[in-house]
Amino acid sequence: MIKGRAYTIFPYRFMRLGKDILLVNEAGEFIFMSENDFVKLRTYQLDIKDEIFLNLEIKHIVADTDPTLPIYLLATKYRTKKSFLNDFTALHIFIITLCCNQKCKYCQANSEDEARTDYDMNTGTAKKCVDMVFKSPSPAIKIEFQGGEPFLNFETVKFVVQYANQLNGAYQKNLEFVICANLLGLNEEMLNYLEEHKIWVSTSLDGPRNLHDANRITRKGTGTYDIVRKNIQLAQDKLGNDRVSALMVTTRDNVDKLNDVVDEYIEQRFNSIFIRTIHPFGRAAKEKLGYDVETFIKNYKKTLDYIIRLNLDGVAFSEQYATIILKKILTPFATTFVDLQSPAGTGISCAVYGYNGDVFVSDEARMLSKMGDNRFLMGNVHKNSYQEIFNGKVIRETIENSCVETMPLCSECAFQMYCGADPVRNYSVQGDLMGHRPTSEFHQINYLIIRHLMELIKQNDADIMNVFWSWITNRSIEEIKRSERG
Amino acid sequence: MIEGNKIVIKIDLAIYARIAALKTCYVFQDKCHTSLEPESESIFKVTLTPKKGSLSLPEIEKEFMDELIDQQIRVENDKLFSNIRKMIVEQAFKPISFAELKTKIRK
Repeated sequence: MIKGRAYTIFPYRFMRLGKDILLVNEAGEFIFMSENDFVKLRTYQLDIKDEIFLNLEIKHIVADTDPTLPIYLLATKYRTKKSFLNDFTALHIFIITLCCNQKCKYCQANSEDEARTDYDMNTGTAKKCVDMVFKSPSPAIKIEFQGGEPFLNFETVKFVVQYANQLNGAYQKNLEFVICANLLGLNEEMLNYLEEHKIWVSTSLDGPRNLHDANRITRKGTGTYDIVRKNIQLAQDKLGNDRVSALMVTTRDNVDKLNDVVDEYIEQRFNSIFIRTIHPFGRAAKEKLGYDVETFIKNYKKTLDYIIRLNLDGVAFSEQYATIILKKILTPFATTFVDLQSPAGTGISCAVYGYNGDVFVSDEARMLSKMGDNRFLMGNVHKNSYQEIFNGKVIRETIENSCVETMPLCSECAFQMYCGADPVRNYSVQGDLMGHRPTSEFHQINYLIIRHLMELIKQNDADIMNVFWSWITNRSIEEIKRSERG
Repeated sequence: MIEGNKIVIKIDLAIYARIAALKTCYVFQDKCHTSLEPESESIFKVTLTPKKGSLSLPEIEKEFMDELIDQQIRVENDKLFSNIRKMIVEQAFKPISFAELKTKIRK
């Protein structure tokens, strides 16, 4: 403590939210205070008996005693928030084939014709990829099959499952499989296999028929809604609702109709939606399917409000992006969401294995490669060792340039602990790994969503907070209320 | 001061740090083209030209000054906190015992 002062101030970042000041400590714990109290805090004029002082002390922003304990506790909490760094790469995405039976207008992967076989991952490459995966020190391994449409090369999917399970007999890791597929070619035999091997299914659904078919079409240009809807139901009936999920892409076609998309998800027995922005890769970069940040945020807020109201009317349904951010704000824990980490999850949390054994730091990096830019290619399973790939120049440089703690604007942002960096997107859109925050859409969207959620938290409306906690804890609002009553 | 379609702000370096002025200009780069030049040893001249004609110049000027104050506070906080921040991160990833930490803080 500085001599003559009644208390020590510990690191915090701050931001103005309306008339109040938001203060966030090093571990992401926050407090709102008045401008007047903020001035008093900084000028050491707070009375240590005041309620605001005690509240700040609980958040380790001030202490009137030995500072060792707050620093010790902040370090422990900081470590917990950064615990995603503990185990290294857990998510391994296999591009089973580049071929696809769809030709979606926003395809980020620039898929190839389904008749071709030269873009399929063969079992020799798949074996090398699985060997590489098991070199990861992570005790939990998730292998995600992507494409193209992975069901077009189902024999390799089966090979990977069989070989990974065989290897895991010795490694004893927590091993999971997910297949990300459009489900167009799903049949009974495939479903039986998915059930037998407990494989999760993630598919795509952009809304009701008119919105889904606006962009998700076959190679002949026909809509896919009816068959996707039928096969989602088949998968849900066979595997259970909780083992089947869907993702949507927000385009200019559905950006102002997101409530309709939510209704469709509910009708199709999903209990959550992830309102995702379109990524500027592949065909999506060429087609004019985007929108400005303002349009997206306006509609995101409207739909978030709609979803909150649905929950209050008894429909348990969550928005996944908000849930991830709320977990970061309201709990001491880290999330496993690789797209919003610092350092970025590129390579250290997620790696992508191309059909030919090329290994990339992320799926977007692989898409960039398909567009002719190998900036984020870490190596190839046929040519390089695990050390060369996962301890090489590409991953190191990518990670070094993705720490929000050192990035302009982010370094002093009060939302720093809740946010993250995307060096691949920065490079792709702005030509440099760090990017330029004031003009970055990635930054603007995240900032505005986090700010909106923080403003809702500041309102402290009991109903809204119950909905948020039900999303975070995956419990019903009734359970939340019961636990509050003790 | 508003001059035509530009805002000219003179920053007194006896009050604000140069880095606070630079960081404030950085924040405004989404709205304005920014140029900076030293007017004298103690005055820093910032010229903001809005990228869109629809933006209110007096509003931008006010926002800039508010942001400048916040950035100055951040600069001062950084001086105050940088050692503690390093200590917290170091303790998080390379922990030492409570007693050792106490000794380290006293030093």
